[in-house]
Amino acid sequence: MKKLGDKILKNIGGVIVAIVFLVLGLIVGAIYQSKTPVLIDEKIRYSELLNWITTMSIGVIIGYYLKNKYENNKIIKNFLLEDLKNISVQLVTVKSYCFELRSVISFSEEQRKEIISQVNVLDKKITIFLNLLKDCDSSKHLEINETLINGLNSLNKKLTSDGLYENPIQQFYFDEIMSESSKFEGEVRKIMLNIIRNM
Amino acid sequence: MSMEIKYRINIAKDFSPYPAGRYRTEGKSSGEAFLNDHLMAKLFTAINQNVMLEVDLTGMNGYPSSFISGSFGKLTFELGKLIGKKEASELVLKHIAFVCNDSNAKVKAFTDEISNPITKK
Repeated sequence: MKKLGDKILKNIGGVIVAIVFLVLGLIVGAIYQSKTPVLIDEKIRYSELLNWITTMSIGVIIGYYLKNKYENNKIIKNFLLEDLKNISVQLVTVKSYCFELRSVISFSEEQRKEIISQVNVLDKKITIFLNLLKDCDSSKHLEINETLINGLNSLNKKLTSDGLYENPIQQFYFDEIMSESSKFEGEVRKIMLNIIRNM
Repeated sequence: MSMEIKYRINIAKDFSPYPAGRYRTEGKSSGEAFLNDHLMAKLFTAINQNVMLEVDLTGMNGYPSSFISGSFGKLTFELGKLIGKKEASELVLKHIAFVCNDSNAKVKAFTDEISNPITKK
């Protein structure tokens, strides 16, 4: 508080000069205005009115409509990318689970059920993503829907084929799964990129 | 005009929520068991009466390809030996309406199998 007081006292000269000039300016302005009659232009200039309304409209569009649209799109985009990330994570989980079983001679009933369940979880995550995409961007939905469903069905065919019941399990069963899931992972990444770039 | 849906099968409720395997030797929820105990009779009756059979896939825990191939694939494949592959696929698809509320991929997997049945025996 004391410091502030000292600072004001130090600059008091400057403050007084500023006030003096302000008062002088006001007096000069008042004298000039009293001697010059104020002219009111009663003519309505529609071009200026139009200009003013246009400026206001553009301001409103930019301020509310475009800004809100941009922010909503950003939120939806984040949701879609989050869903795609979940699909990728689940895909890695399925792949890792199968990779862990490479040394097994034949699958137990529980292991078979687990593989089928993992694909089911993947299917559900894809359905959630596709339903959201359909609601917010139907133009992209058709193409992405086909890519994802074909990818999932191809992987499901390899994972839950007769190879699941072979005794001993053939090595190419695992090789096909690795190849198919990597291909599918690539497709998911491409879709991610497509959404980041074009939505 | 679309055909009347007269028969219905909900795989999860009427058969098993965990269908898996091709042959009965691979489990009691196999494709062979579903084909012989549920699908064949209802589908042939539907074809005979010129009505539809609705197959509801909702609630199934996955859709194992060995099950699909051992049931719908096997039926279309065997029918194809009698009336021709293309005709068999068309006939089966004409009389079956698939419904699924929880997956976008299941219906396509089943219809793809009927259109192009691949079976072991």
